[in-house]
Amino acid sequence: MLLKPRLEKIRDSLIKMAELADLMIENAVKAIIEHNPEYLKIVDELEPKVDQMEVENETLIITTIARFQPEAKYLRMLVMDLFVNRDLERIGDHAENIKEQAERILTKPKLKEYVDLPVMTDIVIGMVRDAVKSLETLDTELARDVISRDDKVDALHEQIIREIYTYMVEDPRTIKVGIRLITVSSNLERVADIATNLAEEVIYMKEGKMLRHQNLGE
Amino acid sequence: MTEKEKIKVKNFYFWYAGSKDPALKNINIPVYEKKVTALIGPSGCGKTTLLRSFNRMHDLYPGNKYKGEILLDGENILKDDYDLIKLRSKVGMVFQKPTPFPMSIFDNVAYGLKLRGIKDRKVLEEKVEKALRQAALWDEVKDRLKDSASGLSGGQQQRLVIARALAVEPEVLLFDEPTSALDPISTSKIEELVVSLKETVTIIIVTHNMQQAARVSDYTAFMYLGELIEFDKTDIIFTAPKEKLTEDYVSGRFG
Repeated sequence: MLLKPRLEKIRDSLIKMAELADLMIENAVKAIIEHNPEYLKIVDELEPKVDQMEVENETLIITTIARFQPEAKYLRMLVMDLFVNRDLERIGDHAENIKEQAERILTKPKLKEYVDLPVMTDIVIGMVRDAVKSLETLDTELARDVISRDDKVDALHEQIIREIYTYMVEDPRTIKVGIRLITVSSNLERVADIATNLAEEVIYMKEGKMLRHQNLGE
Repeated sequence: MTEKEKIKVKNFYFWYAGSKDPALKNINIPVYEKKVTALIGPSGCGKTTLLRSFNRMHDLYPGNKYKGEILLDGENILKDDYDLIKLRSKVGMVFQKPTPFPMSIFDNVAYGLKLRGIKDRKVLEEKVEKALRQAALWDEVKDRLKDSASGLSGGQQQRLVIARALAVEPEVLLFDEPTSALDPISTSKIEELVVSLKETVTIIIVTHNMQQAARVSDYTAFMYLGELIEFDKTDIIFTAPKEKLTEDYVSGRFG
């Protein structure tokens, strides 16, 4: 394979990997919201696939850099692909963490009807999906939109913590589940951060601008 | 590795006429069918000498000596009674500088076919078109097949001689520095061509340009001072070779 078909193959594989990582998050949280451990099986099935893809992608990216010595646009693309690959695998790890919390949460009765958690999950999954979509099309508008959604996720995370505190203060028997729910929320918040990184990487790839640790729009 | 071995080089030595020291020492490599194998190494490492052994080009000069075996489909081509005409129709070669014959574009490609006794105009036309298409030259020359081949650019001439080699439907194609006389655009066309040709033929390429070997080949043999230092998948040779000498060469520390 020459350079272009290799780049396409890497891109396709990253998109597929993102879909799987997204599905892992979705199902791990769904198990908690619907109080149904069946969804966790899907997470278990997908985890080794995502790990396997990470290794395959990394090998393909490194051999491509070694063999084609790309410059400018193609170099940025391949270096970013390497970061994206690592990021997606980490999203899989967060899904795995949520799954582990879910297993314990599901041994106890439902603490409450979840309101913020499904909203937060939807936003986070949407961020990952759109970050990857922006990668596919190098759509920097969409990437900037993804970055702007991160604040909402942070706010929801704070809200979830505050709300669960009130339950724990009222009834210490809810502490066990409460702490685990906060851990789930923290993991989701981290996934949103990763989606933000992905979007920043897309902007770097397209425009050559390094956005990390800067305020948006500068 | 599940690939089929098209050629196997076994305990192979080669001496140039009048030389006491062998130019190639105990070479052992497989050449996999329908893959691109690159021979790389610094000047004088023996890569071109090895390449020319695959179609016994060295026989053109008296006194050159082979030892060991080169098996093509399991048959030793170094045997005294091996039919060289058959060998060279199975194993085609493309040289560093394009070598079009002083005749028309059509006749250049048809040359080998006519030598083989093909006279039917229709068959010739079909085979010439097929070869020119395979060599990615058809669209550029289809309206001027009767023009002299010397009017083509260097890159086109190189693709023409590739078409000429392909016309007789070889099983193996040897490329000896096929792009070192060409500009970058022609070079990338030839590289794309090499990669597409492996659907039908087994390719061995010698190149000074290490990046070219990295781009087009599936397997790479690194040679040094007449010896084979390392043979492996190109992905491995250029990312994590096992031998220090290979590592030094591909990372540009010598050569």
